[in-house]
Amino acid sequence: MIRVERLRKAYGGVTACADLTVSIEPGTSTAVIGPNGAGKSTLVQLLSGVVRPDAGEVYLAERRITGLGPAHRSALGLTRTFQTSRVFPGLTVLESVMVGAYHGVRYEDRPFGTVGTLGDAAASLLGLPAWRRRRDEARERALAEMGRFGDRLVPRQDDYAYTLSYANRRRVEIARALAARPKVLVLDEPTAGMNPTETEELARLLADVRAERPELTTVFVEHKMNVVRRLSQRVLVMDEGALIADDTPQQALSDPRVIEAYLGASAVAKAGTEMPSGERRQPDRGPDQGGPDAAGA
Amino acid sequence: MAEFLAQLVNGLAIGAVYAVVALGFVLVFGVAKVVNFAQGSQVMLGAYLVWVASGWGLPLPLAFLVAVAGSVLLAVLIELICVEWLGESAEIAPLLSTLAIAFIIDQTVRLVWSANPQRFPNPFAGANLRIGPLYVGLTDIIIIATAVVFVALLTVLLKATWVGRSVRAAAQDPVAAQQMGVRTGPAKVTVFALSGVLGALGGVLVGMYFQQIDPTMGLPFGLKGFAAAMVGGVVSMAGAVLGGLLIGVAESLAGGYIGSEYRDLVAFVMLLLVLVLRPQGLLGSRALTGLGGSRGAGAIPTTSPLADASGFPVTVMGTRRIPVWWVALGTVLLGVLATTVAGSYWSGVLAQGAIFATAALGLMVLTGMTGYVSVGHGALMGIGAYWTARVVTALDLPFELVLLSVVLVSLVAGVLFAYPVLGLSGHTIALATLALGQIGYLLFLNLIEVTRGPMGIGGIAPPRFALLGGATDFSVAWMTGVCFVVLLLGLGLVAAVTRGQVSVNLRAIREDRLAAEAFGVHVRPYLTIAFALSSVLAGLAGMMFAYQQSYVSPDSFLILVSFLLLTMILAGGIVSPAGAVVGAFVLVALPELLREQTELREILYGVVLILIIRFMPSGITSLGRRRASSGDQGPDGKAAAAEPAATEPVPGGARQ
Ligand SMILES: Nc1ncnc2c1ncn2[C@@H]1O[C@H](COP(=O)(O)OP(=O)(O)O)[C@@H](O)[C@H]1O
Ligand SMILES: [Mg+2]
Repeated sequence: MIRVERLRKAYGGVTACADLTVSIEPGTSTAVIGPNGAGKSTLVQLLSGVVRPDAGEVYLAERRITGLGPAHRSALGLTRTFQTSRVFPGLTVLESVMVGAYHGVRYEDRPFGTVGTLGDAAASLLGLPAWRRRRDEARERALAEMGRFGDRLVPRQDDYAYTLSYANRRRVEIARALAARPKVLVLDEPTAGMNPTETEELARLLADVRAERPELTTVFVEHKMNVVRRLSQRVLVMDEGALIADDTPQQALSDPRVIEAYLGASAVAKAGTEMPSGERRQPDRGPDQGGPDAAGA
Repeated sequence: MAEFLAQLVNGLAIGAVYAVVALGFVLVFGVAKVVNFAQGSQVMLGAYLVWVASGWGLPLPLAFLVAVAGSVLLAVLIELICVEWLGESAEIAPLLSTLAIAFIIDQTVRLVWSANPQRFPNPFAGANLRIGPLYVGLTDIIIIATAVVFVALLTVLLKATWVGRSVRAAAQDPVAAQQMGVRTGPAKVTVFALSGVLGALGGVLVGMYFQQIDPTMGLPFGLKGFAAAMVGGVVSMAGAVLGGLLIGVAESLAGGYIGSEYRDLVAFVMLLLVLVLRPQGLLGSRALTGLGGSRGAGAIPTTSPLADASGFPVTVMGTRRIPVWWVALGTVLLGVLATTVAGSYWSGVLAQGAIFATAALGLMVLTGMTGYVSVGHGALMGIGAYWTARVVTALDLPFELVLLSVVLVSLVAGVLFAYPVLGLSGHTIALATLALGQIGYLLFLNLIEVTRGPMGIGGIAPPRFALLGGATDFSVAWMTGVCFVVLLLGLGLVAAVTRGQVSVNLRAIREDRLAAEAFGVHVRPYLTIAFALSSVLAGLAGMMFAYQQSYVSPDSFLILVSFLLLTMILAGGIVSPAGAVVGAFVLVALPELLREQTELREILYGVVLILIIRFMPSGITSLGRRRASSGDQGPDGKAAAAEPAATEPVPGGARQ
């Protein structure tokens, strides 16, 4: 479904993605793990087109998408969330989710292109019936996805997104992504900043979504190993931009190389279940905060 | 050949002046991350101070020292107001407030020393130096030499002293510098003070070069300094010098070989070319183009210039969501009053209000909805006005056709206006639109065959409606009525925008361009749409301006008009149609109380703007409302928004 070939990205002297080649089958769920600074978020940025690779190719359903921007990729069915959740702070919760839902509806049967965009904008300005149908459908989808989170989002649909708690912002972002009805869903640390109960809730929700949409391909970056075990069929382990293991969750999490990458060689013997985040690494730059490529995107 | 070399030296001399202005700009931007729009006015004021001190009988070097003292004081004051005092406000606060201060300085100088040009003392005037077969002006050589000496001193100061080291540390990585014990506050004051010195230096050199100074020269010199800095790449001193020299030489050659009327256009056209072809500047690196949007750790990620330092969107603070049809109703009522009971004087004032309200609605669609701050909308108004003037005087078209053609012309103008700006971010957008606005003004002034230049075009007949059997009228009430009808049309357009997905998409781009793009918003076409719609509203306002005044001239479309429009939407409430309309009527009516002194009126606008940014960031229409309360319970709301990391420890996992 999604495939990268010899994908490469360096920031100055740091190789954030080192000639990565991976192919991900349709309808599977794949976890990406690795210590901080391993290049996981960079991979997400490269998949979603927010950052352009130095070399290598990205394919979505055998179509080469390396040169396409994030909007175009999202129109083709690839949706991602951000590690530092990027809701639209000055939009209401419903409006934020509608951005995902509306474009999901719009690109379901229409190609991505400037003429189409201008036509759609004109239809919206004139309030044409075709546009009203799109809007109503999108609204329905948006509310349905918000409804998955019980009474966390729906009662707040008219509040500005900036008033939400950290966990709720994450939920808005996930609802927005689901409302786009993607073919490939890429989540960058969906449970970061959530307490164990909230994490458990979200994991259950994502499992439900997978059961409901078996054709959905999921790729997610995650630090919490219980979530990884529960949601993934395959685990990719990254370190220093390279793939150091690619296996089933059970195998990958007991692989000595993996434990070493996380904790250093001395700790291999006494590996725990929860993997700390590799203190020896430099702190994460948070590439979606708007690095150089982000600004140019 | 000798002629060419003479032009070259002359170009290098004026280029050295631009380089000095550009250096002040680059220093301030590097450390304070603020575009100081008052830099040009500092140059102008510097020149005036030298002139005043020479008037006391002081020799030029001593007069220069007096100017330095005054200019540094002013620069520090600007820092205190625009950076310290307004520091917590929206990203665009420093931009708008330095712009406001620029207008305040210009008008104050005009008030104190009159609008008339003054002779600047130059002891070297007329003297020539012979180098081989070549005669060059002694003044040019002295200007170049002085600039070289000062740039060398500045380099030494920054490279070799502790002041310089802390300034450079603060410029490279403010957070790291703070952690290393470098206080960035003093570094900011230092660079502003240095920009004051450079302002005074620029002033004295400009004065010597032209031997004449006037209160309006700040803007063009500031703009050319900005252009030089941008051409060079904004972040490097070498780039600023290179950019200044390039622009100076290009300008001098264009003046010598193409025609002096094109001299001023050269700098701005070069700037536009650089923005389109190489937005990072000649010496800049791509990595540094992301001038906006990077905020402190724990802030809500956003790219909105209308958000404060923590990512909080000031646009939503206490905003009343006043429905557009309420505004329309109010407009109709006011229109009825204006055409019936109001005397012809106030009817005219209200007509002006309606015209500016239409234009302000246009600016609201762009700046309020997308966050793209335009300081060039006066030019878009001018295009509508000149088009109207031409087609009415030459073809005697009925109103319906004029309206239609103005819409089409403005659409095209908006798309062209958008093109160089779309790839930019942060304060550079304001600079680019400012340059576009100035280009518009220069074209109105210099395309004599089309615009009749400074003479302007008069004798524009009032609107004649073909559909009403050619109905027309020369009365004030008729004209005012049409102005209000056009305002209602504008409100209809705005209603169509705000009702549908276009508004959601535009605001999503404003709030977070990156996320909008990742969720399918086709950003460039959407921004182009916003510019085009905005331009249509500005064009319609220009059309009514031409009809109502029955005369257009370049002076009606100075940058001041663009600034006035910005003040209006900020005063009313930047994101709401009601705000644009209310702001326009209030700011048109308010100065009627000080009708006699136009200088005072413009100073008033500047002060109003600064006070609004500080005390009422979401405008008059939000009066009586407090910051919208949190909609989430628990450890949520603003506290959680500012510092999620601190409130929610994550067991056993990295959160980032
Ligand atoms: N925009 C950027 N600019 C410079 N370096 C970056 C940028 N984004 C990521 N990096 C660097 O690339 C490496 C990988 O980062 P990232 O992909 O965020 O890791 P992870 O998500 O696995 O923690 C890190 O060393 C990080 O500092
Ligand atoms: Mg990451």
